[in-house]
Amino acid sequence: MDARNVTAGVLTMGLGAAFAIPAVGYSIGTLAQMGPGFFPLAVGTLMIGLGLFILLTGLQQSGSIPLPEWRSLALISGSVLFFALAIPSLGMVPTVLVTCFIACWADSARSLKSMILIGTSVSVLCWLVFIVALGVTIPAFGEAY
Amino acid sequence: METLVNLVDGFSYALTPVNLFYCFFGVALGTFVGVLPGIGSMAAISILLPITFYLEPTTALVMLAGIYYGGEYGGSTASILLRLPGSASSAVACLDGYPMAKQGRAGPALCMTSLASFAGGAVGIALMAACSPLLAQFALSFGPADYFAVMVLGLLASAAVTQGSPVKGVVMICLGVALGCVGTDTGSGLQRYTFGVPELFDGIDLVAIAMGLFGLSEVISSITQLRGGTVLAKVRLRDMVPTRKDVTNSVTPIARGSVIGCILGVLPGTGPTIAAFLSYAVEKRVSKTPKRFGHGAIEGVTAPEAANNAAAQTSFIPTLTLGIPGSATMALILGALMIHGITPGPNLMASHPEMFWGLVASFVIGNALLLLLNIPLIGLWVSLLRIPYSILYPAVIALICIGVYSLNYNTFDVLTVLVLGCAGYGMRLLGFEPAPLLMGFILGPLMEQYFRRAMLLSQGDVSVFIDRPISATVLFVSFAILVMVGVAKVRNRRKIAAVD
Repeated sequence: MDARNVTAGVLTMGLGAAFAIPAVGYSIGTLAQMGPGFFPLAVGTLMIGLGLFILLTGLQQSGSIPLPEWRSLALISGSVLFFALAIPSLGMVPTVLVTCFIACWADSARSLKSMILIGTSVSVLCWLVFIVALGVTIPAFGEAY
Repeated sequence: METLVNLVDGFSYALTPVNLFYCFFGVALGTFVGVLPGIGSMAAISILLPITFYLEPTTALVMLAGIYYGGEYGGSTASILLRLPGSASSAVACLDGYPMAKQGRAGPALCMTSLASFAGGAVGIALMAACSPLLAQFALSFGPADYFAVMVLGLLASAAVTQGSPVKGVVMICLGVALGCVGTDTGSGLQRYTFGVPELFDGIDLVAIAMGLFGLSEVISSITQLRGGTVLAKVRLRDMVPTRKDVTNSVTPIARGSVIGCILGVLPGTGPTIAAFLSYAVEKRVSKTPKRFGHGAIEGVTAPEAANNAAAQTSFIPTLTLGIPGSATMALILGALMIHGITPGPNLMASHPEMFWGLVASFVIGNALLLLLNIPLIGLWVSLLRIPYSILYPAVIALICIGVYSLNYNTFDVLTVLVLGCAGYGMRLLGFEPAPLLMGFILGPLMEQYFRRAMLLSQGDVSVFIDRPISATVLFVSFAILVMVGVAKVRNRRKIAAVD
């Protein structure tokens, strides 16, 4: 059994079903007068079929799923999540500073000094590019009005 | 003659200070991301998409296109000096470019690749100027069924040529098409898959999809992989002069590479990467001394470079004249135009001549600028190779976040990027490539429209796809591709079974 393809197959079938099942409720119509559900239903059904194919071939092969880089995944996601939560209230400069800090942390070979240096330079750069040059209406510091 | 007049008009648009500046900015940025392994032109275009909303559509197109073909120039630098391709299409340049660098001939290799790129680009531009009007004329006779068939061909071909399994490529296309259904249905006004979330009424944002799949998930998977190599040599301008033999050995291969590139650029699904690999294979086959390949044969570097640049230029032909992109990057550029309210198609040249001919003219200017950037200023790019990825990626993350947030000043968009980025990373681990998804996402809504229209016109008779000669031919080719891929797979499996 190839765990990678079995997972991929099951996932594909699940996603196909997730699109096909609501599509039935959107009125399918006829070929001449297609309803809004027709196309997504067709695509979802095709995905279920393809998923089944991947699953069945995966059962005959052998292999495993490559391990994810948990550290990179968690810290990069964390940095983006922090940005999303903080940007409306903190403003661009402090948000970018902390976002970069968290992102830098994903690289294990990293000193505190370089983290501060990167964070500061990136926030200044973003302030120059977006607020000064492009006139994006995100405040540099503090809450959006 | 008419083409010449149009081209002169095009130059008058492309040479305005604003367009000239963004053309320069685009090609310089393209070279920059091309040189650096880990950031491709795809990610750079995604990150810059929000900025283009502040620009005129023509200017935006000139800049985005510049990033794309500029990346083809820059990509070979890292291949030659580090044996680490800066972009997928320049992976071939590692094969003979790196051995040349080891022999102390990095300078001539870099110089000849730039010249070859320029030659390939020039042939591609000439073809684009000459053939686009004819193709647009021909495309006027396309009905909805034909458009649908060509889109099917484009999608299937792009799935067939992905690095991994073609079945998984088709799955990614379907997922893209399904994600494209999210939002208000144009035919009935019904909300599909929005689950009452108002942010989804207009569909998932293209920028969020592109940034999540090509920006964020690439950063996550590259951090531990790209711990940087050592640059072999300092490259000075006077070391770059190629020998007479380098030049004479390259002329015919460059010509052959350009032709291969031009053809593969226009075909759906194939593009610079395949053009480069194919032209390398051709050079090895026709060479009198095939043993030199892999040990620093100059034509093994120049022919593929000419091919990928020619393909980069000609891939704009179907995108702009039919409105059908042949690759994910082209789909992204098409999407950018659609956000600006311009739907490329056979009428684009008539309704927006300044855009089409301005773009062609900007290609000429951009390629000339790239020659200047890549030969006299090569030392600058080589020193950029010393920037470790660990300094770059925090900046990339910040640019992605601010870029997507500034679209609507809505945290929902940032969270969408986060979810898609993580999903994209997970799918990479399972062997799914993100590029076909993006093509499906952009072409999906168009396909649904054309399919609906074709069925409405034929009153539900599916045979319309076989009755119309264009659609029948195109669908036959798609079917042939499917069969070929299937046969190749079965053969491979038998080979593996025989070895066991």
